Amino acid sequence: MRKNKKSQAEIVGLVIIVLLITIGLLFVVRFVVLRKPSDVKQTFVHSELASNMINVLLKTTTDCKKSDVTDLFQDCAAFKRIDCDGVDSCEMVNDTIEKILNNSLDKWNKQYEFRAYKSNDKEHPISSYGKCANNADRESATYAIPAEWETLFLQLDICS
Amino acid sequence: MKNKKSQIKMFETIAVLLIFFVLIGFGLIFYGRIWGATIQDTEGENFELKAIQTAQLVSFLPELQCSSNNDDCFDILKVEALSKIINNIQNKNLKNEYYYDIFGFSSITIEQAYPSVVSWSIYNKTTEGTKAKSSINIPVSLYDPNLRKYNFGILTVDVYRK
Repeated sequence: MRKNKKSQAEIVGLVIIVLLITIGLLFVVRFVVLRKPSDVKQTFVHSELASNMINVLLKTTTDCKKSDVTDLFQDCAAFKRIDCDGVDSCEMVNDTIEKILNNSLDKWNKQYEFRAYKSNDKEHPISSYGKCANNADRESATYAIPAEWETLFLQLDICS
Repeated sequence: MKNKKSQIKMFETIAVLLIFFVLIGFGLIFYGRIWGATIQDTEGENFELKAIQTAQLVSFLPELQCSSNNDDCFDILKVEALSKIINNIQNKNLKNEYYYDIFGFSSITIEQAYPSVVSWSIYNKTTEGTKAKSSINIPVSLYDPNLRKYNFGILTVDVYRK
């Protein structure tokens, strides 16, 4: 009877040790192994990149009568009165944006999606470059430009 | 007989203690490794933060900023002047003391991407045995006061770690 009790106590001790080791391992797995790596830089760079890119792009002076990209977008969304040596404002603005994107985001192999669309016609954008995967994480920047009849929206998503 | 039994008991106790200390040893090694990895992660994170800090410092450097409308804008004349001054061998102290205190081991380049491609190296100080490099690209407006035009530029900041 006494021997039986002693072995029961030893089994309880073993169970406690196994439980403690398991809890310790679970703790390590939860807080160390499964810890998400920090992405401070990526978040900062992508959000800064998206907003700066559109901000700087809109201010850029084009080769067409010293108009900036904003002027060309506004004209493109309205009467298309600006003539750039036989090329209309829509073609000129798209050409400029393509050159800039080629020399920046494409060169750095960044995934992005750029769209410029009228408030009442989201399905037919004036400008559209790049494509992101549907499930990709996005840092997005949107700018609104008042045009003749409606508002023009410029959206840039930087994807990871 | 009783003597032999107590000897066995003693060996049993020694064996248990031995296993106990071996387990503690393994635990300490495991903990040390994980702690080392965590320290490396923190070091990497601090390095990334340093790169961001340097990029922000350059963005708001009065030596480069446009005089008016200075949001994300550098004046091309200022960029050319600063590049010449810093990279002039006669101004070695300016680079090695004043700007080194601000930028440390890094490389700062401004590149015009539209309408034509032009590049200026503002500051470049590397170190032997560089272990890691962190790069940041920030789009900036480059104002040409002669033509009163805003060009599209890119500020590239590379920060090095020993």
